[in-house]
Formats: sequence, structure tokens, C-alpha cells
Amino acid sequence: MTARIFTILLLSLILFLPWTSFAQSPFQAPPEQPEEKKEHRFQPGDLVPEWIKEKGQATLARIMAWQHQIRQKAAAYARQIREDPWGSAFWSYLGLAFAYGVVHALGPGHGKAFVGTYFLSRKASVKQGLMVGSVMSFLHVLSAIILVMGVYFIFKTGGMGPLDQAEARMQKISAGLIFLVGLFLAWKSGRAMLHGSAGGCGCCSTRADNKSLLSLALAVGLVPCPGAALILFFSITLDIMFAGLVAMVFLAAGLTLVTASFALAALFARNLLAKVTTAGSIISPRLYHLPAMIGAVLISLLGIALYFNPIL
Amino acid sequence: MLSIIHGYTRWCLIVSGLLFLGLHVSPTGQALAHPHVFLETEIEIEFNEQGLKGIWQEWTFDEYQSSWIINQYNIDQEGEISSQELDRLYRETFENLKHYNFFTMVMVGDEKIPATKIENFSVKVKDGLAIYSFFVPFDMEINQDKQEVFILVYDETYFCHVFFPPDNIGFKGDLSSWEINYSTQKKSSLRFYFGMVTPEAIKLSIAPL
Repeated sequence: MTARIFTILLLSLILFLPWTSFAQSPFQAPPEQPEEKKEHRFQPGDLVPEWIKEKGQATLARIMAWQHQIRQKAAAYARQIREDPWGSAFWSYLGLAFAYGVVHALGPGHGKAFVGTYFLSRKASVKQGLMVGSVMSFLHVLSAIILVMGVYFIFKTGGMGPLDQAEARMQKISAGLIFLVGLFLAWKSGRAMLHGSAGGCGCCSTRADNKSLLSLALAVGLVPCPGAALILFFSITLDIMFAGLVAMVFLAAGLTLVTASFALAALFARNLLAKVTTAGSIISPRLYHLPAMIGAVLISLLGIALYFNPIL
Repeated sequence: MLSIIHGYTRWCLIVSGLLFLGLHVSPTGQALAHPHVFLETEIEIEFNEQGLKGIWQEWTFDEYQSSWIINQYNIDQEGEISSQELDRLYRETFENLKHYNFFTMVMVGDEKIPATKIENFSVKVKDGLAIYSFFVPFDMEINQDKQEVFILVYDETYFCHVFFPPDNIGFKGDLSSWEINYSTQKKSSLRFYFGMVTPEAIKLSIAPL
């Protein structure tokens, strides 16, 4: 009953929010913080060494240039699809959506930090790595589809401003959920450490379980993918909504490729590290749970960081 | 498996509901995975007898933003737009940029001189892309033997990725009174978007002839 009430409440809030005030685009709304009051506040990024920042800037610039090129090509195909819906442009559009998904996921966000942390700290299977990557990415895109449809068809408004504002809010919800998932995982590891078991029983296992994985995927994937929203919105504007919706599947597949690759890379790195560090040594059952505990705390901290500094 | 999904979806919805209520009134931060709009620039720098008169700019929006602008303000493929629609477009999609100094700033040493107004706003369409044209007056007098001036065009919110400086920079007006040399320079003191983007300036060295 409680769940139903909250579900209705949540849906009502999403549906009846004052979308007009959601325009965060600088073309349409004044800044929330007046210019003269702006001052430098400490950000976690300030701790990053200068040479890493420079490399990061160069990489970001390259990713932006790729995104721009892909978008230019996709736009040309989209116009051709309007003339010939099933021509070669349709398939090229889908291919570019996949490429855009890959490039877009390489940029900031999309849960790479979370899957990396999770799989570095817990023993997991390749299947679980692939599962979390795909659930997170497809949910990320599905969330964007619902948002675009709502903004465009229910509220009859366009432009990226309202979508941007909605994304920013959903991101904060997602950050809160990630924090809670991290706390839950930490509590589980803490219980196992107190128990002193090396993971023999179900309650104390350091293995990744589908429940916690799915929670993390849901919490992170809740944020609508801005790249997906943009392409779908453009497709609707050009009257090629069907092609746009099919493109969403391909875009999600592109996101999955990157997110799942991060998950698998972390998983293999953890296995390798575990082999090197534990070879020939006997580890105390309590210490056995330490990496999982650290990982869980890190996920919670990342959730907090994401709330205040959304670039993870 | 289904019961797990059901249970956790319900749990997420409950917590989301609470968070949504709590966050509904809170301000939002800078959104993830910007930019949404790509913007290419063309500029012409105008001089008069006193110095730097101002900067003529053309902003060409990417296909996605262009498509929205063209549809929303009924611009035909020849770029024709009625004066009422142009007024509406200006009010709804440009005037607000005064809060962001029209993304344009001039620097002399460490002194920042942001744009406060624009003139001669117009819009056209070329190859399906919407282009805004306008003039940013600065009326900056140059009294020294040699003056270094930096021109920057960037969006600190990173909603837009501004391609600046353009490959070709134009000069117009009273060019016979000035010796003008230019180069480009990154301004690391103006880093934005979590310190990950450094705007690049046009550096002008201006000396009276």
C-alpha cells in the first residue's frame, strides 16, 4: 500500500512539475547564482595533479570533436530518412547511433566510476559484469525516452533546457540512491566482518549478488541519458520518430559496450590483484571482507560527490 | 529473479519519492554530460579612430539546435522570418544571454570587460543551420603605445560547446590608424566545467600607426 502511494506520488510529481521553470538553458533562463556572487569553491577536481588535468582536457576535447562530427553525419542521414524511410540512410543512422553511444559513454558520467569501484571490490562473474552494464545503459536510455516523450507530447515544449533541468534533478535522486546502495553494501560487509566468516554463508559472502548489482544499476541508470534525449528529440522534430526509437536501442548497445567493458576490466584487474596478493598466504576471515567494505564506502562517497559535483 | 526486480523497483520508487519531495525545492547543479549545443563562431573585429569599437559575431548552431529554432519560430528554408517571429525568437532564445554576457568577454591584462549589450541582431538559415548575427560594442579607447587585448567567446555553464577562435578572423573599420597583430592563447585562469575546459582567446597586439 505504502509503495503504491509513493509510486502515485512520484508519477504525479513527474507529470505535474512546473516544467516551464525547468528551463536551465542559458538561452532561456537566468543563472541560479548571480554572477557577482560567484566565487571559487573547493571541488574534488582541485586535488587532481595538473598533468592529469591537461591530459583529461585534451581527451575531453577529442571526445567533443567526435561527438560533433557524429551528430553532423547523423543529422544528414536523418534528413535522408525523411525522404526514403527504409533506404541505406536508415541503417547508417542506426550505425552512427551505436558509435555515438560509445563515444558519449566515454565522456563524463554513465556509471563507469560505480561499476569500476563495485567490481574492483567484489568477486563477480563475467555474466554479472555484462548484466550490470546492459541494465544500467538500457535503463539510462529508457529514462531519456520517457522524459523526451513527456516533455514533447504532454507539455508541448521543446529545446534542451527543460530536458537539461529534469536531468539535473534526476541526477540528484540517483546520487541519493547510490549513497543508500553503498550504505547497504557497507552494512553487509560490516556484518560479515563481525561474524568473522570468510564468506562461506550467504549472508556474509563477498561475492557480487544480483540484488545489490541490480540496485546499483537501477540507481545509476535512473538518470536520463542526455545524448539519447537529444537524438530522439531531433528525430521527433524531423518527423522520423520510428527511426529515432530504433536508434535508441543501438545507442544503448553502444553505451553498454563501454560500461560493460569498464566492469569487465575492473573484474579482471581484481582477480589478478587477488591472485598476486594472496598467493601462498593465509588471510584472516575478517580481513577477507575489507576490500568489499572499502568498495561499499567508496560507492557511498561517490554518491555524495555526484550529488555535489556531477561529473563521475 | 522477477521478485527481486519487483522488490527493488518498489524500494527505489519509495526512496525516489522521498528524495523527489525533498529535492523539489532545492536548486539543481550543473548537469552531467554537457554540452547539449555545439556552436561555431565567425568574428570580425571593428576598429575606429579611438580603438576597438566592437566585435561582429556569427553563431552557427548545430543541426539539432537549428532544427528546434527553425521549427519553433517558423523560419522557412530561405531563411525568411517574419518580424514578429524574429522579435519572439530574440526574446525567447537570445535576450536572456545578457545574464551570461552573451558569452563574450574582452580582457586587458587581468581586467575582465564582459559584454553588456548587443546590437543589430538578425537570424538566417544556411544549409539547414540557424545562424545568429549581431554586434557587440566595446568602445575601448587605446591610448598606450602598444596594448594587448584578449577576446574570448565561451559558455561557462558548458550548455554550449563554443568553437572559438575561428580559423579566420576578420578586421574592419579604421584599420589605417592601427598596427594589429594577432595570435591565440589558452587562458588557464578561466578554466570551467570542473576545471576540464580551458577557453582559448584571440590575443591582439594593437599599436597606433
